[in-house]
Amino acid sequence: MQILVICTSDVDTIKSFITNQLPEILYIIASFSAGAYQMYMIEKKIMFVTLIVVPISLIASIIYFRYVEKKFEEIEEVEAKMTIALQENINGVRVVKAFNNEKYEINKFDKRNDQFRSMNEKLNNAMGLYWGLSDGTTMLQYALTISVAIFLAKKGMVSTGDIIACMMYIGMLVYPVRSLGRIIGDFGKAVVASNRVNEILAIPDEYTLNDGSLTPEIKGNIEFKNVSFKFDDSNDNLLNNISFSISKGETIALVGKTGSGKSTIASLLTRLLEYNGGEILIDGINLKDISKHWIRKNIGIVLQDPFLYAKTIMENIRIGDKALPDEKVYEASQMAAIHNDILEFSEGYNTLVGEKGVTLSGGQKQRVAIARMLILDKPIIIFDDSLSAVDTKTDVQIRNALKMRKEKLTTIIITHRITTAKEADKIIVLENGSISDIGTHQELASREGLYKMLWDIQGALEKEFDLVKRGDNNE
Amino acid sequence: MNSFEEQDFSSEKFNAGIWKKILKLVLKRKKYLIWMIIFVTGLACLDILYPLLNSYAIQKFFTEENFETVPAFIACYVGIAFGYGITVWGFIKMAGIVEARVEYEIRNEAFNNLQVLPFSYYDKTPAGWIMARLTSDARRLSNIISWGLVDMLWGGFTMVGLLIVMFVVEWRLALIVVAMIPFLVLVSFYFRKKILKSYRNVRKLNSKITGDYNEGILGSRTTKTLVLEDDRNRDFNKLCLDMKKSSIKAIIYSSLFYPILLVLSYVAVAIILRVGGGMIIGRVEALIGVSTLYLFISCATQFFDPIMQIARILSDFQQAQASAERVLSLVETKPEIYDTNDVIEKYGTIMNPKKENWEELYGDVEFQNVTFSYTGKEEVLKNFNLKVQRGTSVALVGPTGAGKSTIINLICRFYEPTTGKILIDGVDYKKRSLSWLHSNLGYVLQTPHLFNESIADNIRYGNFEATMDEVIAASKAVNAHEFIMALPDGYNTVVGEGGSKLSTGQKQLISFARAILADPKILILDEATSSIDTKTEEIVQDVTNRLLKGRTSFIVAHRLSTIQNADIILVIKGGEIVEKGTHQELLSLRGEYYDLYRNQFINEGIEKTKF
Repeated sequence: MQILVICTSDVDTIKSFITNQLPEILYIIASFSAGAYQMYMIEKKIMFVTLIVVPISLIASIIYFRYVEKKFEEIEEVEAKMTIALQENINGVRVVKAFNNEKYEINKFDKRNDQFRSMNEKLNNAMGLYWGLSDGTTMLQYALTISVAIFLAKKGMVSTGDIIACMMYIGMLVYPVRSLGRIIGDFGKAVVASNRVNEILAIPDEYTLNDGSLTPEIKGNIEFKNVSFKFDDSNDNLLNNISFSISKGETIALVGKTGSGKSTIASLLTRLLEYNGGEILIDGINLKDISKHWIRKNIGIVLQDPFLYAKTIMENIRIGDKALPDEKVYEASQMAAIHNDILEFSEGYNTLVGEKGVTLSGGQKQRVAIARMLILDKPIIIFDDSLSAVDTKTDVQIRNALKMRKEKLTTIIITHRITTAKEADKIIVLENGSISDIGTHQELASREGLYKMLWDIQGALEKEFDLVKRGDNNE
Repeated sequence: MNSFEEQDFSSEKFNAGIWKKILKLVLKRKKYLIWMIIFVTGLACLDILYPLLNSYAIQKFFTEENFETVPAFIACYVGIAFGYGITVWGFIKMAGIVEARVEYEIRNEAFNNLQVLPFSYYDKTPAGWIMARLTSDARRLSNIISWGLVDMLWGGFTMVGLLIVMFVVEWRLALIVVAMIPFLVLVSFYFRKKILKSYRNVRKLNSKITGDYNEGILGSRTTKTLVLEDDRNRDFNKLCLDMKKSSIKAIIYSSLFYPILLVLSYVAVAIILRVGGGMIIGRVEALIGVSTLYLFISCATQFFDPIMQIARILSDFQQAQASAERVLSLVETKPEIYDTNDVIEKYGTIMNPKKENWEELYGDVEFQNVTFSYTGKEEVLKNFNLKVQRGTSVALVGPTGAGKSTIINLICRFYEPTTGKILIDGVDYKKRSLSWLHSNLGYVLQTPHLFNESIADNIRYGNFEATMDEVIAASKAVNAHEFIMALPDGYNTVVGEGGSKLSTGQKQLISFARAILADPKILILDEATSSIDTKTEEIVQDVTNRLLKGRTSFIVAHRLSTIQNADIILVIKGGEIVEKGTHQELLSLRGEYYDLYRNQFINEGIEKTKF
């Protein structure tokens, strides 16, 4: 969220400094110097008398606006507390009501609301004092200047015209100074904001950074050779010496506990992350020599919690290629087993999703994302636990539809479901960032290890189920 | 499926009813309001007095060179300086008090009303919408009202005062100033309208840009993997370009506004100079002094400021009307579920319950021919009948959208049956108060809701009268005591927003402890589907079983063990009970439950055991 704040409110701060405060500064300088010059030309003494109040006002203004800024921070804190109380009340309305705590909530909110009120009143009082004092002093300054003018007039040293002119110029010297404290504060904020924006602008984009240039035809043979990966800020390898190969058209399954590195492998393959050791070959070509755009165009990946854009379902599905005809969209949706769900929405494929539209369930989102990927005819596809929110029946249905496609795709399935993994040509078991076993279901189920353990649990449950069934038959 | 249709509040027509209500709110602060008027009037007087005094000085001291009254004059000047100090401080303070208190009251009233609004309201209304009403709208409204009022009063008084002075001193010159008023008014209102419109457009685009940013950040992974960067960039650039264009348009209007007004007011000054100067030199019949001319120039320049201010305030008010309509709509929403007057008389209200009249609740629950519909069209429950004896645990299973949550909502009286009755201990629950039912209810949510307060306070949410010992006993009962004591501040640890400092499992245990402390007769348990680590899982299951003992309980069940342990399992589908019985009985039916078990629970069983 930090990024969003920088991109919106920090940019706004800079903008408003340029459009509001900058002209104000120029105006103050112009008005002050023009006023001072004019008075100087007319009568030096009057000018110097008038200048007495300027440093006092300036200092007072700087002190006051510093104070206000600090108070504002305090108020913001209190306001945040109040907002949180409100937010928690709304989000927790079930709990509030079910435990009959409305009275408690009302009292709690009232307390925070009242605190916020009293702090606002206090700050406002300080504001009143400052402006009152500063208006009063300004008027005293007028009184002083006029007294001096009268004194000079008595001696016949100035003319009436000069005095009238001077009286008009006093304001030009005295008024602008009072806001300087605020402008100085705003300037500080604008500097901080622009530093933060520049920090973002200074980060090099990933395409200028070690991007490859080749765009070969991708057939779908993948080979990992002793690949390791760790994050820059960590000492521990997330992946250690990973080696395996997948031939064109094969389906492999990656299984393992959360955090064992399954999703990292998918990210390395699409170069969202950079591996630190070993190499990855696609059809024998080093992955790092291939253009990032090209590799991503050829590898379709569906994430566990996919993101849908605030557009219609139709637009979302063909977002990768807007020229695709509606028929293709329907076809992909049918393959992803989401077509019937979409038709049930009141506006069908034209239903808006995202923030302002319909909220889809996790499973529906996953299936829309699958359709979005399938429509693009990519030679390699990765399901990154992207059927987790889809029920088993639909899971099978989608995988069968994939098998029916005439051209065989290289498929990587990352999954928690043993029944899904079982169907793969090859199963890779990951434990703590290393491959602990590779083989077919038959092989893995017959040797000791994590996979066998999982399979046995499945078996035990099936057996319990069978027992009940047999019990029924005996009745 | 929550598509919320926002009512259209952007009406441009003047809504007298709304302003009447707002005025009522403001008038409640009579004392401060009167002081505010006094200070503002004082300020306006000083604004008029001050050029008069200067003009006196010019006439007496600089023209006639008569210095007798100098000390009195300076004393007067100093007096005015103090007067300014006091009135400026006073009106700011008073307006601030009115602002803060109106804001406070609007917010409090809205919040109090929120507490009695039923569930249907929260289902239809996004939380963000409610939040915005109670925060920014309440703020903007009270701000514009109280400061607008000050500016209005000040502007009005100043204009009237200046006019009087000008007419008394030299009515012919005054007429020149008056002649300029229509032009100024016309220009002011024309530009205000334009500026308002163009900034509205800018704001709309701005919120679109923020939305796009948000999408760009949240969806960056998806955008990259689909290679949509250029595409998204193009869309965003177009939006920014639109923003640039409409911002420039808005700025042109607002930068033209002030200079045009200035030119107009200086035209007036120039005419005054021409005519007035002529008078001094003597071309026009009566002679006026330099001091009068000075007075007119400063009056004329001072006179036009209030007009601009009033134009601004009126357009501010116009904007504030939308805020006012929204906030008041919230304050005035009537709850659909409420205690009847008879019930209130006997059992009291939320704020003042008459607990001495409350009957003890035993926990027999009965649905009699209950039909329910959220929208009035589609029936979620159809002619639903169910009788549950006190102390029975009931597991509700079935596909999403089958009506499980609806049954829970009805038992909690978050909603009421469209037709039919729900009896608790044999009596229609509408004949008892909401507080009575909720005092005997415990609710453990699928995603536990914790408040950003200490752990002790979070547990105590079940019963605020509980002592610390009771809180600890409840924590021990759910095996939470150990992990709580391991936290740096023990029971005083503040859990963070949404309980962010605790794990999902820990949050669940706390919400269990809360329910134990409440010691409810009826317990609602909405089981979590998300998996937690094996050890916590075991504890949670153990605690669940203990919690259910001796209470009537309804469980939206996902865990196999919970379902197996329930006294009755109801399979709900399409708003009806399709199967009813124990685990063994239902499996032998080979119906819906059998399918469900095969498809879902086997897989869930596996996933839960290992990962």
